[in-house]
Amino acid sequence: MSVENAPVVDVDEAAIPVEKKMYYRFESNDKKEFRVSELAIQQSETLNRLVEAMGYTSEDVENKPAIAIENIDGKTLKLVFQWCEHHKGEAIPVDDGSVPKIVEIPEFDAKLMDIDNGLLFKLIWAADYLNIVQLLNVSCKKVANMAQGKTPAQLRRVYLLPSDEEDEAAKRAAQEAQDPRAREVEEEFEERKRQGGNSFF
Amino acid sequence: MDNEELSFLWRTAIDHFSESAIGRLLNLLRSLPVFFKTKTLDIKNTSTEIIVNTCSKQFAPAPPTTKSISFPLRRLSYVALQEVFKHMDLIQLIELSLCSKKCIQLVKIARRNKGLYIRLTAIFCNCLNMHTKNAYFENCFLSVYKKNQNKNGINLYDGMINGHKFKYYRTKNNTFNTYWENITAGRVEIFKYITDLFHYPRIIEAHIVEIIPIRPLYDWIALKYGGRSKNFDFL
Repeated sequence: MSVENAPVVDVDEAAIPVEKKMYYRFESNDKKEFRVSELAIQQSETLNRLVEAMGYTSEDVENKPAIAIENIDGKTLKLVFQWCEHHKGEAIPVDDGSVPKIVEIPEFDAKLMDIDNGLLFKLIWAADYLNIVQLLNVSCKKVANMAQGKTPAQLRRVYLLPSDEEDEAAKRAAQEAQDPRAREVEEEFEERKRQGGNSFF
Repeated sequence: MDNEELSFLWRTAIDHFSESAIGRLLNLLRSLPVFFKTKTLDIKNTSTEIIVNTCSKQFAPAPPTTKSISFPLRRLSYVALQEVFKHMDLIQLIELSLCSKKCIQLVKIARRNKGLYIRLTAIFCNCLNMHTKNAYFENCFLSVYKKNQNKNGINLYDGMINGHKFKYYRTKNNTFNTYWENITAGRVEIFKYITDLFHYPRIIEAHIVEIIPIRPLYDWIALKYGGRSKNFDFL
C-alpha cells in the first residue's frame, strides 16, 4: 500500500495516556474533606513527608479514607489549602540568617488573611504545625505590622498584653480558684490519716 | 413609613447637622405612630430633647463588622513568636518590652541579637547615644535626656525600668528618646536594660569624654563585659 492510500486515523488526544495529576484527600477535625494537589502539598513539609511515607497510589487515594488532620478545623484548613494551591510549585524559602529578611505580603495573601484575628491565630498555628515556611512568614509579618505606629496603650490592646498589675491579679485569682480543691485534698488526706488507713500512696 | 426609612432620614439629618431637617423629621415623628424596640414613646407629648436622645440611640448606625482587633501574641508558639519578632525593628521590640515584665521575657526569648553591636557615645554627658546596628542593617539610636529637655511639647509615653520612671517617644528617624528625672540613673538603667534585653551585644566603641558623672555606667560595663569590648575609648 502506498503512503497516499494509507487510512487516515484521527488521533484522539484524550486517549493519549498522560500522567494524571494526583489529588490527596484530607479531613479536618470537624469532618470537612479537602482535595489537594500533589504539587500544592509540597509547600507543607509535614504533609509532604506524610504522603511520601504513606506511598499512596491514585487508587488508594480514592479507596482509602481521607487523611485526618485532627488538630485543625475546616475553616482554617480551607485557608491553608487555598494558600498552598495558589503558591504551588514555588520555591520554599530557606532562612539561614545570612541575608536580611524582607518579606512582602502578596496581594493574594493579603486578601486571604483579611480575616478575624482569631482565625489568623489559628492560621499561624496551622502554618507552624504543618511547617509551611512561606505562609508562616507572611502571616507573622502581618502580625508584626499590627504594631506599627502604635502607642504603648494601643500595643497592649492589640496584642492582648496585660500590665504587671493585671498579671498579678490574674495569678492571685488563679491561686484562689485552686485553693478550695487543694483544701479538699488536704482534708481527705487528714481524714484517711485519722481513720488509720493508708495515705494516697 | 417603616423604621428603616426613619432611621435613614434620622442619620442623614444628624450627619449633615441640619436643624431644619431634624425639625421636619421631628414633626413627621410626632404625626406618626412610632414603635421603638426598647420602649413605646408617646411622641406627641414628649419634649424634643427626649425624642432626640431616644432617636439617637434607636437609629444609631450599625456597628462595624465585629472583626476582633486584638491578637493573642503571648499564646503563639515559640517558632511563630520568633518569626513575628524578626519582622519588628529594634525600637518596636524595646517598646513592646516596656509593656510588662512578661513582655521583657518574650522579647528576650526571641533572641534578636544576631550580629547586633553597640556604639556608645556620650560627649558632653547630658546626652548618651547608643547606636545599635545588626546584620539586617538596622540602625537605632537611643538618647537619654533630662526631663526638662523636651521643649517641643511632644506627647511622651510613660515607661519604667527597675523602678525608675521615665518618659519616651520614638522619632521618625529611628531614634528612641528617653527623658529622665535623674539623668545619671537614666543613663545606667537604660543601658543595662537594653544590653540585657538583647543578650549583651558587642560594644564596638564606647566614646565617653567626661567619665566622672557616668562612673556607675563605666563600672557596670567593666563588670559585665570585661575585656570583650574593643575600642574602649574612655577619654
